[in-house]
Amino acid sequence: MSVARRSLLLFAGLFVLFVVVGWALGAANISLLLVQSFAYALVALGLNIQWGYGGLFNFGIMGMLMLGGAAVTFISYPVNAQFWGSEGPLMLGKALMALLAGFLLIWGARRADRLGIKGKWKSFVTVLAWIVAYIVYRSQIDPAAAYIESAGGGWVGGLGLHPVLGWLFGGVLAAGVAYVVGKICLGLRTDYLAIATIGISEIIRALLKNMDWLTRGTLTVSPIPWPTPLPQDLQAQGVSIADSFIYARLGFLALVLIILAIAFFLVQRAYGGPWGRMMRAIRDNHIAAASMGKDVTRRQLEIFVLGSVLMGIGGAILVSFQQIYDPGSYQPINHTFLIWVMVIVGGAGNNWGAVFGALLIYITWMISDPVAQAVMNAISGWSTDIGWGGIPEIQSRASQMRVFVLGVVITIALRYAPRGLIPEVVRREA
Amino acid sequence: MRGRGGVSFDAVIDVQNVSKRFGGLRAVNNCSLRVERGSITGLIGPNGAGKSTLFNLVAGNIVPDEGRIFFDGQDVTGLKPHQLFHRGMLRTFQIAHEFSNMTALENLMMVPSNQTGESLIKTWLAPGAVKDAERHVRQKALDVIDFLKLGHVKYELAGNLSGGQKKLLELGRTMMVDAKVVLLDEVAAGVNRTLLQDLAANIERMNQELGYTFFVIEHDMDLIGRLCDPVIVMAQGEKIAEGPMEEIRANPEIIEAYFGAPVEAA
Ligand SMILES: Nc1ncnc2c1ncn2[C@@H]1O[C@H](COP(=O)(O)OP(=O)(O)OP(=O)(O)O)[C@@H](O)[C@H]1O
Ligand SMILES: [Mg+2]
Repeated sequence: MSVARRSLLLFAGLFVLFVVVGWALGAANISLLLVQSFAYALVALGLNIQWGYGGLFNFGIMGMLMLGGAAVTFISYPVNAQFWGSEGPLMLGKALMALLAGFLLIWGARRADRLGIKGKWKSFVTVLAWIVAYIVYRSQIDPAAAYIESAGGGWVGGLGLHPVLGWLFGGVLAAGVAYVVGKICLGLRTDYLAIATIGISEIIRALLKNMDWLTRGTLTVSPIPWPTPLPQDLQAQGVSIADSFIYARLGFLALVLIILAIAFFLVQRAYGGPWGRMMRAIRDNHIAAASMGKDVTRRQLEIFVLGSVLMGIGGAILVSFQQIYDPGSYQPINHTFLIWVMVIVGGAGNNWGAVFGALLIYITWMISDPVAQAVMNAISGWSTDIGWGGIPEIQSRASQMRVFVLGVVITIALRYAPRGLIPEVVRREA
Repeated sequence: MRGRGGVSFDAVIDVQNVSKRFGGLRAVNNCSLRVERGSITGLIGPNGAGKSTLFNLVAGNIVPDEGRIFFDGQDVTGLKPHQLFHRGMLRTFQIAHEFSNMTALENLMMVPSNQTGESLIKTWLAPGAVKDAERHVRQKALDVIDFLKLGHVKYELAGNLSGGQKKLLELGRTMMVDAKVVLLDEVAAGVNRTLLQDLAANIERMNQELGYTFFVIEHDMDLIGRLCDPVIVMAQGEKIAEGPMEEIRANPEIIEAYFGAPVEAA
């Protein structure tokens, strides 16, 4: 069976699955699942670029999603007039200046050899510069943060701009962080990148969770506005409550699909051309690729940044859609591991596979809880009838089943389709 | 600027007192040698003499512990392989480094540098220009692949090619772009005799017509004798002799170094 036929059949099967689930859960629920799964598809596309094309390990996807979420919160949440009317902006401005001054100091220390300071002394000066920069920055940011949280409006609020701008900013922010991380780690070995990304994403989580003045931390921010009409907006126009959710979500879905389609088209075109050929060469044999004139480190950085952009945008879309930014709700299992399963099961190195995997795994992930609950209820009823007694605490048991089901899915997939359900196609005509 | 032995020796590669240790082993030991511009210089020596290591040092794949390397008059010690490639230094690997999940044709097509389509922006915004450039690259690759008589496997994955075919592909990559110097590490090993004659003829042609300099590691003394002048002999990480092949062949010390025991005159 050709790959195209097989993919077509798989997508048809997926469509049937969505229809069945939609029939069981109702149109409002399935439209919600659709929006989220297509947003995850964007993130999976990002990982597919990094891992499928570039062979780069990114175990810090969660951090990129969080950055995207923080970005869209900041851009699209309404302006906090109390903050802007207080001393807060000025104090933050000073803290920013302190930060810049600190960077200049460190930058200068790294070039101390021009002043004749060499070797051990240079290291000493650099460490000293870091310490001084840190102290200077903290001396400004600490009072600013304390002031904002108490008297300056609680937190900085947003800018009140269009959410789509926030999504783009999410991509930019993720790109910036990916650039710095990649710049530091990629020259070494790609395994170091894996370790670094885990650390970075935990740092991002810790920061966003604790910088209450910026993100409200565990207090969470809501409601974050939608780029498309909300259910409430439709209700105001006389649409019934039940229908309003469906139509509003379908409107949001349309926007997500447009963005996914654009990203997919761009990525697909790049991968089909000389750029993709170069990337596959680097992945196959980076020593030979370097000897054939390809700047391996720079290209890996490019791929890492590009993938992170899509993750940032996807993370921003998810937050917009849920209307709440809760830094405490991010978990590596939901926001890193899940994406990896999507790409591995779907087919690393194939964009259709990544999208397919995202849709399949997300819906499996979301329905395994209710399905497990139904199955357990049935078994429990039957065992009670024959006198063996029922299953205790079905609710909490069922919610643990998601991870179990995911584990089973990935095991089966790796056994029967180790390269994914829609694997990378090796092109035969150049 | 030509002429061996004279003051006007024009070295395109100049290795000065270079050493490389792997743990306690001195793979290259205070080695100095020069490759004259426009020559086909041979490099011979017993297994483990440090020949491939020297190539790796010259091509930037590894960095010397001591000493300096000059390419085209400039100090290139510590430069990366891709930087040296852009200055015109191409190499093959002794153990074929093919891109195994790409077709033979793609293996060649990836080589030219600064291809229009290697830029994301141009790929997205100027697909027409990318397509044009791609047509040229493809034609060039097809020419090379025909020359190497690999036409029947051009759409085969490089990883599935035979050992000799992979070797040819290695050589083919160096023919995809204009080079100043080509380092060939046992490129003939495993290649059939008839094709070998073609290859040798082509190396001579590229040398004479295009002015390429070749630096060639080979164990096949006949090939070395036919192609190379001068020939450099390495043993235990050092250069022990240099001269035309007849001289080298006649030198009993070298024969001893090479074969480990003096060879009786037959
Ligand atoms: N990466 C490495 N790590 C450790 N030892 C190495 C490495 N590369 C080469 N060596 C050692 O350095 C010595 C020289 O190896 P090299 O490959 O340069 O020999 P050669 O002259 O090319 O031999 P041959 O004719 O067999 O190809 C050998 O003893 C080898 O084991
Ligand atoms: Mg060798």
